[in-house]
Amino acid sequence: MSDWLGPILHCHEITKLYAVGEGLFALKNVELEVEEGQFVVITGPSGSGKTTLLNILGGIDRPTHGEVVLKGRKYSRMSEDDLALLRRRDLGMVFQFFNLIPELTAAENIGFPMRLLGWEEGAVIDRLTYLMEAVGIAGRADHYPTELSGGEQQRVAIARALAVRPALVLADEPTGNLDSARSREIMELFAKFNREERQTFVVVTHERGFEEYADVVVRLSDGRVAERVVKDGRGGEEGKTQRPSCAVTPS
Amino acid sequence: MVAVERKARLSVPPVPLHLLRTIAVRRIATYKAIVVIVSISTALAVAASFTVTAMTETMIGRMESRVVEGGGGRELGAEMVRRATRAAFLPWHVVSLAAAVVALSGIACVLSVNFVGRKKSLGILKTLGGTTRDLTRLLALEAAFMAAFGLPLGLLGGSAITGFYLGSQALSPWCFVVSIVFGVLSLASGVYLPVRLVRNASCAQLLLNRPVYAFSNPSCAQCGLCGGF
Repeated sequence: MSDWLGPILHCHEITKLYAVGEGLFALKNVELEVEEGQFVVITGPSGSGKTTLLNILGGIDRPTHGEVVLKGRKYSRMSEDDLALLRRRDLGMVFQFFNLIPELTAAENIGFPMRLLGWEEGAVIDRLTYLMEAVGIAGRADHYPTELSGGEQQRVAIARALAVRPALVLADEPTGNLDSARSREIMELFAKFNREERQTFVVVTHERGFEEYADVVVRLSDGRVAERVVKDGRGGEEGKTQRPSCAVTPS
Repeated sequence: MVAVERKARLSVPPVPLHLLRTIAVRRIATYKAIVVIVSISTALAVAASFTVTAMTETMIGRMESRVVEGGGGRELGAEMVRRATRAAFLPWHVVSLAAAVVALSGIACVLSVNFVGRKKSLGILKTLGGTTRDLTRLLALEAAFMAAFGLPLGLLGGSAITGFYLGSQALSPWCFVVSIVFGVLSLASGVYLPVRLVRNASCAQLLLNRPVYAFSNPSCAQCGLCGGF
């Protein structure tokens, strides 16, 4: 839990333009607001700009136009190194292809963000033990990523993303490389941490079946927010369905 | 809307050295170590061969002076022996110098080309919060470990081979000094390009495998002839 009041994340008119001459938009005037403890699922067909949006939210890529504000800090005013430090402290990231550090074991990968922030070794071990138990890879601590299955690697990646209790966890197609049973397990894990630790999640997926886990569903289409659905209870009936006027700006 | 804008600039604590050391040590692949060892051995052999030539010329010089002191007046014969010695060693010197240049530039090439293969892993470190300085330190550490591992083994291997073919008297101390200096310079030049690329690369360029340019944008990117790394 952070001491920040107001939305954790705010995106204002995010536009990403590839191939300037041809006017190829990956994203156009996307508005997004994420409150603390929310589980936001961003869905949309392939090429709708989901991954581009997530990369921009993570400070990995920069928008052509617009602003991202995380806990009051504007990305546009930050250097590459400032953004790296922001990711170190306030962001956890989960990728489709896991992106574990191949030279480190599962336990070392999970402990990396904590040691990066200079946590005491005792606190690192405590958190590490808890997370490895929670994601179900306690017996694989000393295995290198190449010795783990896809599902296990993704569990390690999730534990690593949650390690320092970041303000926000961003997940890009976390189940895209897994079979349906493993996919459901991974989404259950996200839901569990969202429920038990009030961890804020923004998950990008093309599988609409995972919308049931979300508090808010954002549907992208051709780089625009086509629909934003706020649910009144997880897994329950959909509440207010809205298409915010500010979300889509006619081209 | 967020009402308050926090100070954007953050303090920059470096990645703890022991974390970088763990990655650097495990990162050193066998082929890279072999390149360093072979290169240093070659450099030592070349330096030793030059020593042998120098020693031969010195011996001829002594013989010549004795002949002159004895009033023999046979300087012409000594000069012929000197020329014959140089001629005999010349092809060996040319070939061995070329081999040394190839071997030592091999270190630089292996390290530079290696950057392309590990862009993503550097990008992962940056995604987790590593700064440009941290990545630079990691690359420098790797080169340092390669030097610490490859130099002694290379000198040992080179000594054994050179001692066998040219005799142990060919291994003068300056051979070792020259080999170490060349080895260190090769490693340093091999690290230079990756460090330069890392300094110019954004997180997206590394993680999403986009081209990285040796010279800062936009000049290099606008040219684009080389296609970047």
